[in-house]
Amino acid sequence: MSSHNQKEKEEEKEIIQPRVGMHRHFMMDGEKSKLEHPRSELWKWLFSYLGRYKWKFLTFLILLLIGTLVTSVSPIISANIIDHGIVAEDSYYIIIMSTFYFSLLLFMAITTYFAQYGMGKISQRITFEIRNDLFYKLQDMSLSYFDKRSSGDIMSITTNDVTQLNQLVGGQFVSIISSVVGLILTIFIMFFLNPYLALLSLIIFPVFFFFTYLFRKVAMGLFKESRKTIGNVTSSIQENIAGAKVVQAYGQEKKASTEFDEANTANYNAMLKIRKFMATIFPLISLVTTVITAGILLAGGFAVLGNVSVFGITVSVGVLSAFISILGQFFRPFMTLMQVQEMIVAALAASDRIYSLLDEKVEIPESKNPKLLENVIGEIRFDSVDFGYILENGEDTKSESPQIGSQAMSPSGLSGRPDLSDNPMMKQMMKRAMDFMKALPEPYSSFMINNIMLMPQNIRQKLFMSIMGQNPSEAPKLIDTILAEFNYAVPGTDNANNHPELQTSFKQADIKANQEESFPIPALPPEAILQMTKVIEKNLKSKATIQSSSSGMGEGGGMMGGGMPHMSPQSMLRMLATIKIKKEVYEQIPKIVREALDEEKKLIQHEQSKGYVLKNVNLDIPSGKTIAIVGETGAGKTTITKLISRFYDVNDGKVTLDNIDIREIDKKTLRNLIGLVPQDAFLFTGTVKENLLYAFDNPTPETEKKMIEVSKFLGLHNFIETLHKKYDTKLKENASNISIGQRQLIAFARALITDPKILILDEATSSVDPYTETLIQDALNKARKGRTTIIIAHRLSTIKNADQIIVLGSDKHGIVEQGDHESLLALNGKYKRLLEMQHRDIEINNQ
Amino acid sequence: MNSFQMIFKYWAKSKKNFIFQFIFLLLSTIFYTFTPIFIGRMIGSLVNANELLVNFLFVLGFAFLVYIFNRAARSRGAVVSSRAIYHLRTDISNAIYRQSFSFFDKTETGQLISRATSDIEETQMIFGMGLNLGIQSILQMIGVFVGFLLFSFELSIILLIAFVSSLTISYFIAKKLKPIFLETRESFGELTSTIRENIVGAEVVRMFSTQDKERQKFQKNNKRFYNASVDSVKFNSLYMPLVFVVIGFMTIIIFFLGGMWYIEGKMTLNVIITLISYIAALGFPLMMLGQIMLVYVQADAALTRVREILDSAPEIEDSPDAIPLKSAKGEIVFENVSFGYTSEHRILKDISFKIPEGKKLAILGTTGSGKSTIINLIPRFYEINDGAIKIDNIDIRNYFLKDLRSNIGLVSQETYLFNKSIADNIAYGKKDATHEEIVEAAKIAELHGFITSLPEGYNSIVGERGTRLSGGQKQRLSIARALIVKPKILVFDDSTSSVDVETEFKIQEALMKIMKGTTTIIITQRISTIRNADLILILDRGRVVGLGNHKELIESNVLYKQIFETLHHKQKSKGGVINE
Repeated sequence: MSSHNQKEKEEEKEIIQPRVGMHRHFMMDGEKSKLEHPRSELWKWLFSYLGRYKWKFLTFLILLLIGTLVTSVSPIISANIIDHGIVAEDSYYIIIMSTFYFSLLLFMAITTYFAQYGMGKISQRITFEIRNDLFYKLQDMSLSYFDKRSSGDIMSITTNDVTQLNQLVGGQFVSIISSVVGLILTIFIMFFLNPYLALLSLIIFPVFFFFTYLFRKVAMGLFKESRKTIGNVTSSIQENIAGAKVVQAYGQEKKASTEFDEANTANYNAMLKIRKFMATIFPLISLVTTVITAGILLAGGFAVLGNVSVFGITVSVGVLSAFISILGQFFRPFMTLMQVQEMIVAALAASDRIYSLLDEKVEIPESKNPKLLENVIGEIRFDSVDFGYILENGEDTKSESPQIGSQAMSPSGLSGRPDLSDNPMMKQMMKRAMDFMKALPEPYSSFMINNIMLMPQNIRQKLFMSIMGQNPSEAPKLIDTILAEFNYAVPGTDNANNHPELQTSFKQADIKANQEESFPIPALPPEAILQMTKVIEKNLKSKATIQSSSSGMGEGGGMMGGGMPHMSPQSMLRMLATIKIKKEVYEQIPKIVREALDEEKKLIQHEQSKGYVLKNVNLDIPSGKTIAIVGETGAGKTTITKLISRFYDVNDGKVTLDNIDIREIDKKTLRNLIGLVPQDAFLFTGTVKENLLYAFDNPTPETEKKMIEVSKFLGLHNFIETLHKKYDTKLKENASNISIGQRQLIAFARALITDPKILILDEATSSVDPYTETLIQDALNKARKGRTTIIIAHRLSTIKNADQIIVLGSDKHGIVEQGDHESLLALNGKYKRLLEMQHRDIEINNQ
Repeated sequence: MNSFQMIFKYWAKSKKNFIFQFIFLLLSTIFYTFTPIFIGRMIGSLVNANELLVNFLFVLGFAFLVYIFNRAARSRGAVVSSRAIYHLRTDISNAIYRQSFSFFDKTETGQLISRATSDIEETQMIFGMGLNLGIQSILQMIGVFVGFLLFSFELSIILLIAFVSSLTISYFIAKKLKPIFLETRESFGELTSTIRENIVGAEVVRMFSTQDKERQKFQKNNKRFYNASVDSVKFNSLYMPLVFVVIGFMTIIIFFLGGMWYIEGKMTLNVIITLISYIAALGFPLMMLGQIMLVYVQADAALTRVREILDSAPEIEDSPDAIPLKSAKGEIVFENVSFGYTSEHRILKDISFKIPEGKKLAILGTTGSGKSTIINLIPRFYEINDGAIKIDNIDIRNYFLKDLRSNIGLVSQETYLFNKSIADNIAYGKKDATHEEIVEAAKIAELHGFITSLPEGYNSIVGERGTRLSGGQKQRLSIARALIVKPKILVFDDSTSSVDVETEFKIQEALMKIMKGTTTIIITQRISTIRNADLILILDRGRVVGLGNHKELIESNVLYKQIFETLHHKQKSKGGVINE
């Protein structure tokens, strides 16, 4: 009877919900189950944490196994008590053995307790460490990391994924080990007891393989579906909670509920499917195991009845009854292993994401010999600085976030204007081409890599158009055919051996012939162009509108995935827009396509300029001076301040402080020199005082004195005094209990308290009322002394006193005007126009 | 309502299925307990081939019946539990929307989200397997007890004592665990908040190089969660050993007493063996009861937190005799209004003013004087403590909330955008907005040019919290969002503070045209706007210190004169240079 109970016990584990996360990446998880890292690497990484506790882990594991052993031994003891104690009427024996039995169980209870507690503790400890490591790593990350990812995704990794791992280490590891050990032990005992029945029992293997297969096939898909839908539920909840005030202000509760209901219903359906599947499969498994057990008993029973011997082995009644309980132990591990597999897949996916985060390279690395500056003068210089948020230093552009302005561009085959070759998009294309060549089998791989730049361009072009996107293993055939057309062959191949007339290397002379044209391919032959325009035309007519090309090729790998033969009309359009088309050819192109081409060209220009925020910016800020930066939204004002603080590294050129490249300066030293008051004054949950003294690890009475001094200086003190606990008033999440203007003042004071050498104010007082601002202006005039000050403001009244004013233009990606207030007015340019706007405000008043 | 009642309430959401699940479960458990009897008989019938075969067929028959009923019960259960979770989620989501702004001010977003998501996940187990396991284990325990009663009264009393004591111990463990589970949930919420804050405030952390400070803070939270988790492991690891001890105890009692009685001839060997196998069968139900207790306590902790949202009565609701407000004329009156976010601290004191239909009011005042608070009272985001606010001469508390709010277009200081397309965000308040209407609103807000420059134009996704848009662009988007509804009352809370002068000017001009006939309230720092307002309200520390138009105030109000001159002088002196 006990056998059945254990079976049932295992069976009940199925209802455990797949651990579901908070955010979107679970949705993506559904689509791409591929891990970024090889499994072996992930296991190695996991075991590196477990390794720290390996002796403890082994000890607890042994304790657990002892428990298992005692369970299997106990029937022997009770048999002994019955046979030698009760039946033999030996009360002394009964007392001794009962006491022994009880102490054995007590011992098992104690070992089990410590083993479970210990294992749980280890797994909690490991997840504690992983969480810590994750957080430590996050603190090393540069801001661009946070730009690229949604906070929900990062949070999901640091919370849910780690929780998932906890279940793996604390639960599944142990059950796998004990299942496998238990299985081996049981098989051993079965064969020891009766090989005939044991062999019969092995029928369970194919049956369970079938169930495991079925489970894997059906349940995995269902679980994925459920995770995907719960991801939608969660993000819907998150968004509507965060935006609850807007929902209410617009009276859109119903709309929000409907949206939520959609996600909720989808998850309901997914969960219902899982549970229905479980409702089918588990009773079925139960039935099958009972049938198998009964079948074995029947077969064994007939053997007993007929006293038949199979291979000379007879079956006894005692053995048969022992088999009932043993079969139960035998089925159990299969059930466990079947259910654990889903958890392991999920846990591996979780560790993959965790590992990726931990493995992420720090983009703003500390210099190898960081300089600790002393006696800083505070002279800042920008030297031909190029910068874009989506450009990556020295690497190809990878735009990961599907946000505005960073739409992955889809370069279209290996054609392009020469001036595109230093374009990041071109680099990416070349990298992909390189990767593709590397993937080819030898000798094709090295031949292509060595010769690609030597080939005449027509050959190169034809080669790439045919083979890109093909399976690397099939490409050689194509290469052979194409090369043969031009009377070439890859050395060492059948083609080269059988056709000695074919040339096997490209001469230097060939490059000379087309030196004026750089990588990769010259103009397409007119026929090809016209062929493509036909396809485009057909497509345009059928669809009436052509979708914007960036969305047209959004699918992963769209660029090379197509190759020429499978190129989409969108990518053809994109391709044609990037190459020069001879006039006579252009005229042959149908009007509808020509218009589309012009549109596309504009779009490309737009996209290309999109990446750069600053281009070739030179700027000199002398020590102790004040400069003001003006310009419209998006011109790069804030970017300049972020580059000085080295939140981002420049893509080209350099930023120096006292003539030292800031990349060589110790990051902490650099940032301690700078007092930045950012646009949106972010304050932490905590008291006003904690926020004001945020920069100090251990505030002293002096710093507190300084705090009050600065608060008075900025006119903040009076406001704080009105708060019910004054400086000890607790600020809520996002400081929602004080106004934005007050937040800005606190952020300003927070920066000023550190007495920075360089003061940067980025719209620091945009939400402060005009009277307080007047006060701040006066304070600022005092504070500026002895400091290099950079001010960004919309209100030109704030700017006028600056020693130098820089006017940024978003279309130029840099400085359009520079000088002091009067010289800029004299220029009669953008600055004056901006100023006149302000002036008009007053004119109206004087009407 | 406690968690136990709550679980039943949500199970009962699908009554028919729930009843059938219960019946099928009973049947399957009963047949299930019979199966081993026939397996035992198979061994007992090893003298007769026919009997062996008959018993074998019985086993198959019962196993099949168990399969049928178990499957039916589980299928019904699947619906019951999935529905329960579905309804719980719907209820909590609706409960959140019902809350007033002060609720959101009090509650941390992170905590709210974790209650609505991960806490509900914690209840999946109890909803899914609670009934199955509960019924099975209880039935089996009863079965064993009845079995004992048939054979020996004394032993069944001892068994009863064992049951009661083990359940009592389980109960105490569960009781001990509840605060621990609450602590794990709380500290986990805290942990989440810390991480969230460090992601949102990443720039500030880097600016002040306080990474180490934040690490220490995090480690403290992490440690707190770790300690709570280890505590919970410490107690919930007790269940299994407890079951071992109970079973071990009962086994030796049977061996000992049964052995003695056998020797005295009072009990047969068969009975002893049967009782022993009954005791062995107790392992499962006892273990499962412990498991259920654990799962229940876990769910209890989560549900307690969930109930805090479900049960918190919305402070602001439609009054029972609310009247509709189709299209307001737009007259707004404040009558001796007093208000404070907390009861002890009044932000606004005795505010009275009247804006006639279609007129424009500008509010002036220092940072923290209560300007935004006044504005938030009009759509009834907060309930005033004293006085009355009237629109079209009727107290706003008498209107349907939805009607009241749909008449007011509010552009607040902080902009929240949804992670949807730009078009969807603009059309947020107007379900049936046409593309032309969206473009029109965007044009007034000076956003059309920017939007069309995006590769995907109006279909561009705004991104989380509107990142990728500058502060000014976000503000302009929220202006467009308010305008598209064409409300009778428009409220701007310093909503162009991040917009550059040039753009702001254009917006003002465009607004001027459409604001005709619309009652408008503006908080601003711009002289032209202030001067052009029909009415100017000056606030100081929550009191009205000046009310009138520009002409009246400049003559009669010293404070206004002072403010105006400072502002004017400042701006004029800057602009004046042009003339030099």
